[in-house]
Amino acid sequence: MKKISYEIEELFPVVAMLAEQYTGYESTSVTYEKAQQFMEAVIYGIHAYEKTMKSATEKGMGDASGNALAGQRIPAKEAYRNGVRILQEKVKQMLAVYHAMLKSFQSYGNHCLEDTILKGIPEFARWYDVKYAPQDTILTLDYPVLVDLSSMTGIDKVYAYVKAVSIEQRFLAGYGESRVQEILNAYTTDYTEMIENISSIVLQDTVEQMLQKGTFSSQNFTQKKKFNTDLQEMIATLINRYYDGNKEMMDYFSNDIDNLRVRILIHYE
Amino acid sequence: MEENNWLQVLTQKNQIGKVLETNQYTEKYGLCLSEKEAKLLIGERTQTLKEQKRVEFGNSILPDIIYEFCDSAYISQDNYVETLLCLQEIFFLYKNEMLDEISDMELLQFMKEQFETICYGDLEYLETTCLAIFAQAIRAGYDGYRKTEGQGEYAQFDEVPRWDRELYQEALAELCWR
Repeated sequence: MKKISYEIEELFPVVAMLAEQYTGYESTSVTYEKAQQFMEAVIYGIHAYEKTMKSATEKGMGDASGNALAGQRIPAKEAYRNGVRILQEKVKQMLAVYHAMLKSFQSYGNHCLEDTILKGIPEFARWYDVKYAPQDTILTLDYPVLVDLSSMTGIDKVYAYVKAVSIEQRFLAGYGESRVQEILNAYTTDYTEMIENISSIVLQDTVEQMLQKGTFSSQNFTQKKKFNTDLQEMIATLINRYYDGNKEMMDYFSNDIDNLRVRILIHYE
Repeated sequence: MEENNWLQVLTQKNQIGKVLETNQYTEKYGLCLSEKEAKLLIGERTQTLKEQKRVEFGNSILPDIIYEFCDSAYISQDNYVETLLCLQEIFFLYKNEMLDEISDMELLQFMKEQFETICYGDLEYLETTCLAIFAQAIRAGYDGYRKTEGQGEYAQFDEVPRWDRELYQEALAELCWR
């Protein structure tokens, strides 16, 4: 569960409020399971608020309502309500990124990517309960991305996921559909059914081409640190040349350095 | 505080005052609870909620149970506390069995109606027959009780062929006049 600055006793009235609203004020009791769900919902909401306030404070800004006293502690109920508003805004932001990506989205024939993005995300948007269960991710997000989202849940996870896929889509668009499918088919003829990250495969192919052309030396294969540095440079060269030095993309693919190194080593053995 | 204990702490909210307040209404039916008896009922409520893995957030359902059943033909001062203890247990059990699909008042009204008519004050019959059958119907998707607020619902699920009231009166009259 997320860490927040409020004691559990301070959260009781907020959890009680949620329970009453959920039952339409027609039930004086709920199951342990539901009560636990509401407690997690309250903590998730307050965490969203506190995270935003901390970020605002670090930037020297006031709180969401322009209050200069961003460090002032407000009642748990108010923090929760502010948090829900922040989460609702985050859902909108996620959908904006999603819809922008959809305009040129390509699954390159991979069913896992297609199903996760074209079927999964709309289901999330349909069923996500920002008030009573904001901590629920709902989806399994089968298509693997290159960032570790295991510690995240709910809209935080899905938003980070959609941003990751969006970065990949921009990267892959630089190759064109047929070239990507050519690379994937060379990797495995079963690429339509595989559950692997497509952009990593394409990046690996590009890095290997750079090594073959002698752009970078392959002599550092055995030295992990040196090879990783070389890989980082290759990725930077690629992104600077073809993607205007997109920092987000650079940071994203930096997550895959170790994995890339291992796969290239295996391939060259 | 351990995270799991907060569920029990919520339930221990003092409701004794509210339970004793009901005496002002129930005394006209010859029913009254002492402070000791109120504490017993609240204590048992806490235990029942723990057993049924439920949490009460606001006011307890116990005063509502008291107000609903105090005019029962089958409750007297002799069996008042014992009956309330059983009704409380039955209530929370069936909130779970009915998957929280039914509101508190709908369930209480159904319980009261069956207790007075079909069950003739028999709590075991209420728990094991009427409520069990009704719960089964609700789990299967029945929601007609929402329009009726739990009243007049049992007849359609009753598995026991019962006397028609007029027929019963006729049969009784015939027996008496022989």
